Amino acid sequence: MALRSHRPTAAAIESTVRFLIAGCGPYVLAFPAGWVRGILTPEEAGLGKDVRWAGTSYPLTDLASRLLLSSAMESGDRRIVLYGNGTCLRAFAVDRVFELIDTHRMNLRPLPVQFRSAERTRLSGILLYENTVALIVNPLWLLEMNGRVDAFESSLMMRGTDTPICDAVEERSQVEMAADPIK
Amino acid sequence: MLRSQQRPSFSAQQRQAALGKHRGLLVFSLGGRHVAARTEDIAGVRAWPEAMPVPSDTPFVTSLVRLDTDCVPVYDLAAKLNRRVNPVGALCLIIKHEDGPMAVCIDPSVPSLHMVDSSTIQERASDESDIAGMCSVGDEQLSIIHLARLGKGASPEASGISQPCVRTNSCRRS
Repeated sequence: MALRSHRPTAAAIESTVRFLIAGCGPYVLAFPAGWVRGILTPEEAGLGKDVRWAGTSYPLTDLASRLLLSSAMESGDRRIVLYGNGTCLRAFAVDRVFELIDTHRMNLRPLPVQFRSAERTRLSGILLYENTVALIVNPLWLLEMNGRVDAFESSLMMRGTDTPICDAVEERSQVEMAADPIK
Repeated sequence: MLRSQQRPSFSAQQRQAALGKHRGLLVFSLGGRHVAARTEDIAGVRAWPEAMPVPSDTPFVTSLVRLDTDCVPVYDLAAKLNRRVNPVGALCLIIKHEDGPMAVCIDPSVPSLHMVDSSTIQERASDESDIAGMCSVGDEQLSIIHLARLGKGASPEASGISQPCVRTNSCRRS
């Protein structure tokens, strides 16, 4: 009897999301952690255009300039983050890695609509982090993957711990099917 | 008895009519320049919290401030007026923007409320302008900023108060 109202897929949506929090210039950035492949020191990463690590090549992308910063700061805390999904890989420098956090979805917010230019492509939303705000970087923009991520997909993306769009969309369709089993 | 009950309601109507002739304006300072805004466009004033920069291409919207459990974008009105507000001791004007609440960093001097005769306000008709009109407060001629529509003008030139966009947030703390 009670099974008719049971929706396991909806209930399975995790209440926390994992982010890597890092600083780049004046920005506090939150990277969806599901696609973080590693964090290296600049010495470990080497000086080439690509970072080779564990038999995989990660093309280096200049995150600072893509975030409209004139130049990246040099500091002893500088780290190279290896990032990617199954098909697309990138390495980028951050000034400092703060921590890896599991945060409740209640702390996630969409980017306010008053931001209406290219920043909507760069950022998926914002995260209330300690007593400040971290900017959630759009992983597809970060990986320079072609194709636009619309707001709905971005919001869905933040729902999954491992963040892939396809998983999120699949999750959405499962939730829809659970809600309407006739489909 | 009835005659005395009618009298107060008549005077209330008169008072209502008199109030209708006046408009509430809040006068505040941006880098030393006084401007006015309609009180109905303002949600509150509080101490300026630290602003978090955003890599934004939207003119004059380049940071966020955390207000308790909420987070609102900052409109850099001072930069638009080619002024600079010292963030030390600055105040945060929370405005009722059409797209949702926004914050504006203003000078530390506490804003003053004025009831201005509506007939003395020279209103502007253009929807594209950030200026709702001009008014006289004391011996000063002030621009009335249309806070609810900040940044919604078609072009910087259309705003009537703007200069070319500068990307620096005049209120950002280093």
